[in-house]
Amino acid sequence: MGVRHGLSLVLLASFTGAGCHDRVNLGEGGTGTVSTPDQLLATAENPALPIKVRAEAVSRLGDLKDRGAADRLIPLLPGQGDLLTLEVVVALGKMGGPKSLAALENLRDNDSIHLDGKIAAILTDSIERCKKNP
Amino acid sequence: MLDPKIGRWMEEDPDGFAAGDADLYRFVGNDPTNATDPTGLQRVDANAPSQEGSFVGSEGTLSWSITAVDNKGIQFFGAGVTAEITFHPNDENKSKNISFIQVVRVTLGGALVYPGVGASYYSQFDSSTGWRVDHIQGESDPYYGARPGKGMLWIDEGGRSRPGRGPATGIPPRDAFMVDSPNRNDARKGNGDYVFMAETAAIDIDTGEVLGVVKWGFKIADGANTPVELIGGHAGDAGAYTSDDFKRAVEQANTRPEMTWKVGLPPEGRPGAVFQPESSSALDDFFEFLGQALGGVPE
Repeated sequence: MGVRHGLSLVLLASFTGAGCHDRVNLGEGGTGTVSTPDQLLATAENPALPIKVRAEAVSRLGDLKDRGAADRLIPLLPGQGDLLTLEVVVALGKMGGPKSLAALENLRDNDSIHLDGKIAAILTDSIERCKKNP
Repeated sequence: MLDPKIGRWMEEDPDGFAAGDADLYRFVGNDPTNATDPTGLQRVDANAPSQEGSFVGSEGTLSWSITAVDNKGIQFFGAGVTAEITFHPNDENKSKNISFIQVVRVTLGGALVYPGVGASYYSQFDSSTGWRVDHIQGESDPYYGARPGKGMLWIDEGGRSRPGRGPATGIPPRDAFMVDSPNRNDARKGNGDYVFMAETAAIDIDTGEVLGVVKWGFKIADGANTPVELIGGHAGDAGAYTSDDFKRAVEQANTRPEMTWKVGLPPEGRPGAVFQPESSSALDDFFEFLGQALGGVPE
């Protein structure tokens, strides 16, 4: 358990709609093609992919802080209250902006959704981040 | 059983002196005005603004703050608590190896409930007692971890620490920190009492050693404007060993294929076992006696 290995998720392009000879490498330290925002968004939106793969793509989008991606991430909320939901909440908090803030506040105030406590805690933090980064 | 006339239990507190009261028959520390004890196992503070405490173990100090977040009638996370739990290691070099495992048992009207819409998924993580590892679908490890200083961190499938999970302000880099905001927005709406119980352990993720454990939780009784009542979180609710419920929940989680990271046992002989040793039964005592009498139990 003490040994750490970087997670390298290499997806076939067919998952993302990219060219059939391309590869999308979502991992750290890999040697594959660097993912573009469009490729990452396509991965995030693909319901046929495992949750953790989609969540990884969302996480990378959050690191890019590209607010243009928020419009396509917001429809993924609230999702199933799973890891994908968590990553979208984190990513929107990193991106900031009025659209992200409104989406996160709507999630917070939705009376019919019961979020896991760790997602709720992160949601609070992401809302604060958005307020500091309007 | 509690005798309401005298405000005392009719039997000894099953937690013994660990419950924090020298009088094993006394009810909620003889403070019934400010506290109740509906389960018979833990004091419940009504309208307590927060419950803070710490436990000093051999490897460092576990500290916690449990605060009610209650917006009665207002749509804002319903009602619940925010729990902030920190482990400060004695050895700074160990800080990078610390995370948390939390087990929870959540009921509404006496029935087990789950977050999100994945009840069938989460129920697969239940042990026979209804306690389950606090885990959301898609996670591949049981750790509820964060290591601020570099930002809150999360340990993923590959053991990689991933930043960006929450506020790190004011948390020293060497400390491990987690924050949980359990709540329920359909409490007080005729669905019965909502009870959230948690047992949170700071873990050395390399050795599997438990570094400190605290039991905490809250209850919202059904009815209009009922208070969020804090459960546990007292000094007597912390220690160096996890409970059998914790053990069963983790064992159950370890059987799940989703969990590619398993909770391991510490090397034999290391101080601080992951799980509290089972207390010996009368049968064990008999065999031990027999073994001593015979100079060894025949095989």
